[in-house]
Amino acid sequence: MKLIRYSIIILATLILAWQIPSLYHIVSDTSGKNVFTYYSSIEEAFCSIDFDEKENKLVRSNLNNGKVYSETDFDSILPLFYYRQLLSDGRFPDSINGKAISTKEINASNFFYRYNAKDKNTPSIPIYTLFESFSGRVKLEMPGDVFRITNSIEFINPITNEVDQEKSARFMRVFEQSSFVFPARAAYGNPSTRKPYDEGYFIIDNKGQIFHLKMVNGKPFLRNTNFPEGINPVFIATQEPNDKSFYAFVFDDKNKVYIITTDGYKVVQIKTPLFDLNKDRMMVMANPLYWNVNILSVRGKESYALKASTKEIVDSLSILRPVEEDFILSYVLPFELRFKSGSSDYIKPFIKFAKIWVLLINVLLAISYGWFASNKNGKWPLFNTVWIILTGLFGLIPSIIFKN
Amino acid sequence: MEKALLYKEWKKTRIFSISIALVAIVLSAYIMLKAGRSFRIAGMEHLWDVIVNRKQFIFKELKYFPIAAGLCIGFAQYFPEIVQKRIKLSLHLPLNENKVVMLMHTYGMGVLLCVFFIQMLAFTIFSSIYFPFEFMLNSLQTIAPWYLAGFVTYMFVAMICLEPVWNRRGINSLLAIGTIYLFLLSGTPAAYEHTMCLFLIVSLWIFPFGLLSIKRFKEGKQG
Repeated sequence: MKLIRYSIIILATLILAWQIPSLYHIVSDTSGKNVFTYYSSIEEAFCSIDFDEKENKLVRSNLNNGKVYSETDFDSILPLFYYRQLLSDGRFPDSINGKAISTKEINASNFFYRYNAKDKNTPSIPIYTLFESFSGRVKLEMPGDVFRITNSIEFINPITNEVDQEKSARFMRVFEQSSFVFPARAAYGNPSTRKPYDEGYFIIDNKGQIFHLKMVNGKPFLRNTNFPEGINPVFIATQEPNDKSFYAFVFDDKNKVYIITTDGYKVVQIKTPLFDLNKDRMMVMANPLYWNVNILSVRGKESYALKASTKEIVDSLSILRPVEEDFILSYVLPFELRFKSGSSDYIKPFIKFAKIWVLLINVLLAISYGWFASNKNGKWPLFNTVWIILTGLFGLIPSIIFKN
Repeated sequence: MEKALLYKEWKKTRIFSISIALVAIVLSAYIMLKAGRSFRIAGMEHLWDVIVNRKQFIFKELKYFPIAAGLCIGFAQYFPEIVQKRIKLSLHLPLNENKVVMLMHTYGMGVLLCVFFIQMLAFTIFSSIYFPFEFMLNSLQTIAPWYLAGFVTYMFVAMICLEPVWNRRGINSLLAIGTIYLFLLSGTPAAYEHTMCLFLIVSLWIFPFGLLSIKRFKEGKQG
């Protein structure tokens, strides 16, 4: 029976270690400041829109020299971001820093890409939709089948749930003629009809090579991108930008980010501030002159401005959150147990330990519990004492409740 | 003696057991008919797209059935035992009290296992007819924690009912709610894919908890 009692104490401890910090977060959490920043092609500096809590208004400023702008002036220093507003007001400049830029060019080169660690850490059904990339129609249409790729490529008809042998064999032949090594590790595409065109899938083979698969006029198109051997890709975000300048963002196991360009699958590194692809978020805001690469993490917001043509860093910015130590989470509760995370769709235990000093409190609690229990029962409760030293308050509560 | 005990459990719970089985059949039929309607109206290709790319789960109405079944069979089995402390009669049988409780548990778990297994089999067959293997696997990974929650609910109902002290029943109920909630944390299909073993261990961990309640009952604990 002792074992059952201990089992109940262990389970109750884990439930408390999950629920007490979670309730504490509900009553104590405050939202972090989210400052909009964008690299100005006019000022050649990062500019921001921040909320002034004292004045209770938005403040638009140049972060380099601190100059504050009115809303209208702010539109003018970020013409590549507010070009629609400037056009509507008739204020759009003929040239930006001596370079003539048309709205067509802005429309083509402007894009936003958001990466959330959840994009990678999410369960998925490995079934893919391969659109016809050259249908001649403006709107993409569903192809009438899906494919799976593990030890071979197979197309399945959703209506009959049967493999289309002829189409599968046709595509398989192309794979066999290439240097593709089965089984495929993963395939990454953008299976949406709401995009201007389709570039199919980027597939990582068993050797870590990246292949580009498309369907062109019903025929298979497969190319080895000759991705550099030293880079181990772990996630690919296939994009279809308006200017057709690149195919995809590639993330490697060293948290580095690359793009595969449409210029012969050339691989270009996109330099980012310190980035953990399993925890952080990345946002790329691009325009014809600069790419703003923002990393949002527990540290705060860190940004690079990259020259669009060369992807060289031209400026950087850090808006770091002050590290606030929460007394309860650092010195009272020995750890936090969570099963959900903002960076993963999977349910799995995540443990965050408090400061080492919390062990002092744990030991004090354990000795007090042991002293009271031994006074009452004449026997020192060894299991409970050790358990309270390890789990502190979370172990103490069930030890008291489930004492017999 | 064991057979007689199991027969007693059957006599006590047959209406509930049959009702659970009927609800399982009706619910499964409803879910499948509803899916069939979606096949006809939206078309299989669109439905596959919604399931694969938008992570919609077509058997989501099933989510709370296992918990309801566990509650139902648990109360049907143990509530009559605590009314006027009838469990005392069972404990006076020429059998070890732990064995008596374990036999009762085995009966309840057996009923749930039969219902859940048949229902799971029905969904597996249904999925394998209309969807590829990958979808079937994803569905099983999604519904498996719900079924585990059903077993866990049953075991906690036994633990709570057999417990002699009301305060402790309340605390056990809180522990039960916290534990069962663990199995229902996510709406994302197959979210428990990597941790199924861990949650299976948690379910097995709870299995003997009722024995402590029965020991406390036998000792006449008041607090």
